[in-house]
Amino acid sequence: MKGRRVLDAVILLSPLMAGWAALFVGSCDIPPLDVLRVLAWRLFDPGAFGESSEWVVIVDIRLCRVVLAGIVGAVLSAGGATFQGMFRNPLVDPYILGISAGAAFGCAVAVGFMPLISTPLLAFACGILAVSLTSWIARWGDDVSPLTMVLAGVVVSAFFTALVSIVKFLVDPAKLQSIVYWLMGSFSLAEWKSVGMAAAAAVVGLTPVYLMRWRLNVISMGEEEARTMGVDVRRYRVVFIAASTLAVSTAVSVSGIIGWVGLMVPHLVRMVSGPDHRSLIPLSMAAGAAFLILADTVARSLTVYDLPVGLVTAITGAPFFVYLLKRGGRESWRG
Amino acid sequence: MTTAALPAPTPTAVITHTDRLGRRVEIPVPVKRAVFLQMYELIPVLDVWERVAGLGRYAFVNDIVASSRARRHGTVPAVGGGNDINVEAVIRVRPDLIVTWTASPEQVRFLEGKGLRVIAEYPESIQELREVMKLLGRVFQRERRVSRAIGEMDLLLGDIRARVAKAPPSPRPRVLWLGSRPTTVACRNSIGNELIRLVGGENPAEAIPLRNTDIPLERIISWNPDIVFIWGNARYGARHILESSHWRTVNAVKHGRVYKLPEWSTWSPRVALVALWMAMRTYPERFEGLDFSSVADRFYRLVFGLSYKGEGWH
Repeated sequence: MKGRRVLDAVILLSPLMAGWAALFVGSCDIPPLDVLRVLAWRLFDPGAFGESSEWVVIVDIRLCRVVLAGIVGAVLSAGGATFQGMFRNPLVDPYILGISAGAAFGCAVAVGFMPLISTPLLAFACGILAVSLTSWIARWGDDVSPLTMVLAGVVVSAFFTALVSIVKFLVDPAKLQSIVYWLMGSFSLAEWKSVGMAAAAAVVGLTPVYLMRWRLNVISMGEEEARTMGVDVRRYRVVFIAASTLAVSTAVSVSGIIGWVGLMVPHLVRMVSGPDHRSLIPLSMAAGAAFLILADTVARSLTVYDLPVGLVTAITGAPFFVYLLKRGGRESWRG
Repeated sequence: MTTAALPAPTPTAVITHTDRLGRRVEIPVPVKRAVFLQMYELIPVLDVWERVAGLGRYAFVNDIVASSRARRHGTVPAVGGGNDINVEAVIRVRPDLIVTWTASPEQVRFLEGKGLRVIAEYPESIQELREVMKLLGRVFQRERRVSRAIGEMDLLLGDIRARVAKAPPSPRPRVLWLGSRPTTVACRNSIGNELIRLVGGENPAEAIPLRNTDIPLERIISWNPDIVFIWGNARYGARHILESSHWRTVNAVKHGRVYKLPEWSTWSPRVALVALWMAMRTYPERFEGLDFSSVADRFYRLVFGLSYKGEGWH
């Protein structure tokens, strides 16, 4: 029991450790002492390094990327844990409801045809539209079962994916390049205003998820069981979907599409700490943040190029998932 | 320079050409019916509008094509794009030759399998552009027109070289060419890099042996370029860079030397005008008194048979 507590504490602190380490790594060779000097001066004399390139690299580029990657990682991971518990399906992630396909369509339209409209804004709007469509379609039947919801999400995702293909077909190659890069996910152009936007949505979206996380334990036992325990499953499902979607759509709109985090990290945490959502949600947030910070650090410093972080998560995520399956992920899911 | 269309002569010879995909193509010349999926700005240079059987869809939004198409009687059908050719539409216009680029080799092979003659080119330098122009001059038997266009290009490029050669040899300004994203830079194998060298700049991204690639923003900040040129088709403008907090310590931003290029293709004789425009911003003191519009108008008239109206600028 003590060992698990230590492990939980390590996971909870991991974003800070990963973020601290990431500040010292990058393609621009800044000695560690200079990094410390710049950060220390920030504490004691905020104006001291305001116009130096070291300051811009460490604070406006590296720190900004670290914070944004941490927020997006936490949101995607918490979203994955929430959806997996709610739908009682270990294979769902925040994108199953059509968020990513909708956001991708918004990005493609903005880049291809609406240069005056902000790409994140349209990506966010279309992500929300896609989830609304999914919910609307799922309500056609007598009852909104998890299976209906997932199937509606698959249909909406396919529809928006087809629309993205049409836009990619119609735009000229110069714009196509921007769309393709966005679809691969990247923090290379992270700015503090994006951090503010993602942080605000994360707080608004994840606070209800965090506060009501114990109800996910009841819902994940099955709808009938939950009802007998007095939990209004339909109401909580709407709250969880709306809250997670708000946070995830905003995260996607500032980072592009980053796969595998929402699927992989909650599984990993579940293996370590069990399926209790009271600990699973906060630990997934912390582990997701640390994972994406490290993935982005690899993406920006492994080569001379700035690789899309979505490629790094996909390359690490797919084999890791195979490993999980082989190791008995189903057992850990059942607790 | 005459702009009247001449009747297409009967085939008199066969040219064997190895294109950028390494395919040996035998082309009976002169070509009477051609489809241009790329290099369509060379149509008015060659003055072969009457021999154009089809155009790629992006040609219809090109200013040079739009201005010079008046020379063509009747409409020209669109036959798809460089990556998505409408094969039926191409077959229907019965071309002797299709001019395209190398983006879709499998499509080139497919068209070849249907008995169509295709050349795929991708000029990575001004010299390679000259070679493509010469090839098209030979296959359309318009060598003199091409020679004259290349002569005008070389005259302009020579003048630029001569002027910037008088600038102090060091330190050369560090010049970056940004692409579709503010972190996409023109590297060693790009025309952007060649243009930077031509105008007397030093490209910090030249060490990277690629055409264009995305690099971490912190690397760009550490390079501290003195001048930044933004590709004309990029979705962002000079203001985006000038107002970004990330770039505030960069010399180019401090001194307001961030410029967005015109939406002109570098696979066209207009690459010489792009070079002039860049050179005038890199070494303004060496081009004092030179009126870009007058030079461009003369160039347009001699090369394209058109007047320059400042098109393609933001």
